[in-house]
Amino acid sequence: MRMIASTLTTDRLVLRHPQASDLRAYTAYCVSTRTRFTGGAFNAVQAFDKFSAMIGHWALRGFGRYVITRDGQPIGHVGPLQLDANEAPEMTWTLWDAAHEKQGFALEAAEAVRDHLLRDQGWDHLVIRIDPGNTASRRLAQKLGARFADDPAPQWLPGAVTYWLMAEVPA
Amino acid sequence: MTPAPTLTTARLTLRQHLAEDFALMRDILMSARAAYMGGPFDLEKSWQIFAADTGAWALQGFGGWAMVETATGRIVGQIVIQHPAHYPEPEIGWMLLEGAEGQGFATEAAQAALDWARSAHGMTTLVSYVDPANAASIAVATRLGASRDAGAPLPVGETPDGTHVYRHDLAGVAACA
Repeated sequence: MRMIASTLTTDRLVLRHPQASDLRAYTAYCVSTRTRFTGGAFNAVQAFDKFSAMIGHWALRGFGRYVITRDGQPIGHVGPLQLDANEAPEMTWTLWDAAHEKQGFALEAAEAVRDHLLRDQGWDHLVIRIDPGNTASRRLAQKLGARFADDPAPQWLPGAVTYWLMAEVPA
Repeated sequence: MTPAPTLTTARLTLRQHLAEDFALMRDILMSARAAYMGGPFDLEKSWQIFAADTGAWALQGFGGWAMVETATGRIVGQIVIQHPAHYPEPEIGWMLLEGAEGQGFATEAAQAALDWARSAHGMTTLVSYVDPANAASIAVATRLGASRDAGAPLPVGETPDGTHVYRHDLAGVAACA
């Protein structure tokens, strides 16, 4: 297991493990059109399943996606996801509500995770998969220093474009 | 992170899932053996099912266990207690790996999980939702003492033709013991 920090703190945010009290806000996100780029919208049952899996990922792999909190309120999730142990871990980020966009929260959270994984923990690389129409996310990938690559889309996200975040990119 | 408690039976250890269990669980979930659970599933959905069974412990205090043959350390299947929002009540389910059938492992593991549900959560009844064509699973439910409950409510989206409800009466078991 590759254990990573259980909490990361930035200027404005605290990133921590997902917990039961986040489920209501996470479900509201899942049933909204904000999941249109990641296979949604989902129903409440699917949201429960996906959130359970987010928690289970930490238990199984020692790392996983953090819930982004702002003044104690959960506003999104960010971090590495690895379905197949033989494949590169995938870096992900999402804000759950449009009200929290355009304030740099996703970038601030993703930078903290990138620095922790690639600099503190010495991970080599992270793959990033994005729906080609998700321009906000593609911009964020570039701001993180990720490099666009011509990899085929994974079966679970048809049409996705790929970026790589490499350890040699200056943090 | 709330882990699954470890339970032991004569031949089995039921324990928290480990990442390396996924290779075996995936083989079941992505194969025709998952037909009675709505599968076969793709890799992403298989991971989600597996990780959700592991993570549900933190949300509800129950979830999935890996079923390990104690003598060999070999994983023979999975047992799960679950109560997602579209289920009217908690359910116990079991899944055996290929080659692990016909040895009573599912019955032995489910009995331990039912005993735990009664003592740890005070549950007096659980159900098993079974495809009527799944004779092996019906045999396990019957061996556990469950009987068909034709009047029980079904999970949202399921039909009386596609899903039969077998009810485990834990209060009755306690009274007989």
